[in-house]
Amino acid sequence: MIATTPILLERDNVNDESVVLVCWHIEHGGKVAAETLLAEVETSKANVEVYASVEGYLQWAFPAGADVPVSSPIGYISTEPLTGGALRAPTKSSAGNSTAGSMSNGTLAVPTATPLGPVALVVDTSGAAFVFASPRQRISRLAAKMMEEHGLTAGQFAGKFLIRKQDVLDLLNPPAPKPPAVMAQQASALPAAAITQPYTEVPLSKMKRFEGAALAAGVRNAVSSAVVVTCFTRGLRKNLKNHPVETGNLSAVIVYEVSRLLRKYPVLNATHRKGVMLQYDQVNLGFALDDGRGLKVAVFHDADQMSLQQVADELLALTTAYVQNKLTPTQISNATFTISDLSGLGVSDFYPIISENQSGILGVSGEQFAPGSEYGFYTMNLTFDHQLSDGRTAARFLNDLKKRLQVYEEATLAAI
Amino acid sequence: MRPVVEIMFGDFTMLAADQWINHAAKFEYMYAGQVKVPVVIRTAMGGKRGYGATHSQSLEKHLLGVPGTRVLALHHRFDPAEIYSRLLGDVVAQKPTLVIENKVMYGEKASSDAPEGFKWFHSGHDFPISYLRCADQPDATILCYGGMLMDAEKAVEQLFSEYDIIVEVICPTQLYPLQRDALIPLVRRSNKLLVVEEGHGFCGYGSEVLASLYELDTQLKIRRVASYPQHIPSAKPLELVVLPGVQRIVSETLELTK
Repeated sequence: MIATTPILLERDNVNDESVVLVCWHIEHGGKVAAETLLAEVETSKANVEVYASVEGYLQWAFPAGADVPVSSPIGYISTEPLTGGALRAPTKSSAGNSTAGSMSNGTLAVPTATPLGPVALVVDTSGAAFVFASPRQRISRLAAKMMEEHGLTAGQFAGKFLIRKQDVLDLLNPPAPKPPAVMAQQASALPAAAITQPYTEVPLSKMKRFEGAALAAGVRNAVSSAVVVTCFTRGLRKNLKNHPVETGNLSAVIVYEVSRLLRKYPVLNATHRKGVMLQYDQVNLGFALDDGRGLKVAVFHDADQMSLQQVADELLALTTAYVQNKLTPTQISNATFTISDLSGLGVSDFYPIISENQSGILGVSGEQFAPGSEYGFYTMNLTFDHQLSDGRTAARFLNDLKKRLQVYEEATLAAI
Repeated sequence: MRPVVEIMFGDFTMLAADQWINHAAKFEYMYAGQVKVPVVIRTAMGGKRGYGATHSQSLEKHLLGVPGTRVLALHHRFDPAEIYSRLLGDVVAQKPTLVIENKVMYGEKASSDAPEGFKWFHSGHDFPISYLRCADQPDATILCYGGMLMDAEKAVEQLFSEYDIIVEVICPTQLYPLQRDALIPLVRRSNKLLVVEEGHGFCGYGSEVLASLYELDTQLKIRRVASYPQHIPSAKPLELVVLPGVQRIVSETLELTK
């Protein structure tokens, strides 16, 4: 008797109802041993590798590139080699039919609970990211009768899964286009002006779309304002590196100091909800990483409880994981404040955007030296939510941070 | 090691009500957290089997809302084995937990099959909220638990094919504490909510859910279905009239979407 084991995806965050199947590492019908790397999938937060749980023969349910609902198996492992029809790999057009069959085999979806305790259920009400495996359409009795009367076919209702009387009426008498909403719900949903120039459509990756949606949500929720301070320096970054005791880097020092300052300025470790400030109990400091392979905000959980050495170690661990594309969903979730450090990119000043469910973001720019001078300066920019705090508080926060960094500079200069 | 007690008919849980409400629920509090009471009581509720007035009831509403306790109801769209494994594992908080199983579901095979055009999703909670979604805009939402899910699914089929109405279903596993904030975005997909429960409706689960959700969003249009306020007859045709079923869910949904 042939036994098949479904290959189920773990639901690693509640935002995703579907994931992109990036690639298969094993051919359809190929023999696999347990623990073999089978495939790679892209969620909105990370790329995840899928391994075989048992030994057997791999049967794809979806081809590479498909958008797969999280609770559907991406394939099966059977104990016997595939023969006949089963040997044909699913194509994009046939993926739906084959999975519709396999999904009704009584496979149970058992999503894993996220390890972060109670989870708020986030539901995408736009329906835009909602993808069904089965493209089969279903027609209500009334709609079927009307379609027959008017000689319509189901193919004319592309994109509809449940066809009703109203859909038939809409097809026969297309409704007048709705006037554009005054306040767009999402940046991506803004009514765009018609494009008159020739162009090529380049689809954005799921990760980029998720990043855009999170930033747009942050922009919607916050009334942003910004304050900048200029710090004079004789080369803090260089001195810290050369310092005999604190062989750290400036980023670790800033994470360390900011996490402590956030306890002093709790309005910056909070978010705004309908006239109420929700102050976070923990200080989870997000640190934006981007070396060209996509922006990720790595998170120092309970950063205010960590020593400078622990921060430096964690920073190394997070950046290494980022470079190796191995950041786990936990490592990039639940930041309560973010730091964006563009000092390595020769930026003299910039305006970072507050992330979703946060009320502040610190931008750190590069040190600027006049040619031949040992004295230079760098700027730090705090974007804050004016609904919760104000320019004065932001300025005090930045000046506090500036003073603390100066102490490091003096200490390192004294030691050299 | 967790004590698991089975009470074969839920009608008799009331004999242990004092131990449940005054002892199990309160020990952790009264002994300042020095003891935990990780007892699990599993019991079968529900009728439609012709067992008569004292072996067919759904009495869970009397045990909902006791601080320090948890009440779960199993259904066939999320693996009951997974619920028990979480309950008896070390991940979830240890507290007295009442698990409602429905008699009519014992013969059912658990699966995530969905009506054509719909699909089941499960929230990431320890005891998840399962929700049946479609890609199109729904006209109404049914919230039910346990054994009523089977009738709700049939009603969804009938409402679409015969009445041109798209209905989504929400089926929480955890009845108490109520996961109010997680439910509201699901309900807002249609803004019309029908709560279905098999027990008597007065001061019931449905009343509490509707009041709690309506407090969050007064734009909701709400309605409920429960057993008629009378004892459950042994004669099966009469029993099926007293207890809510597919036809009542359909007709109440039609009222709701008028």
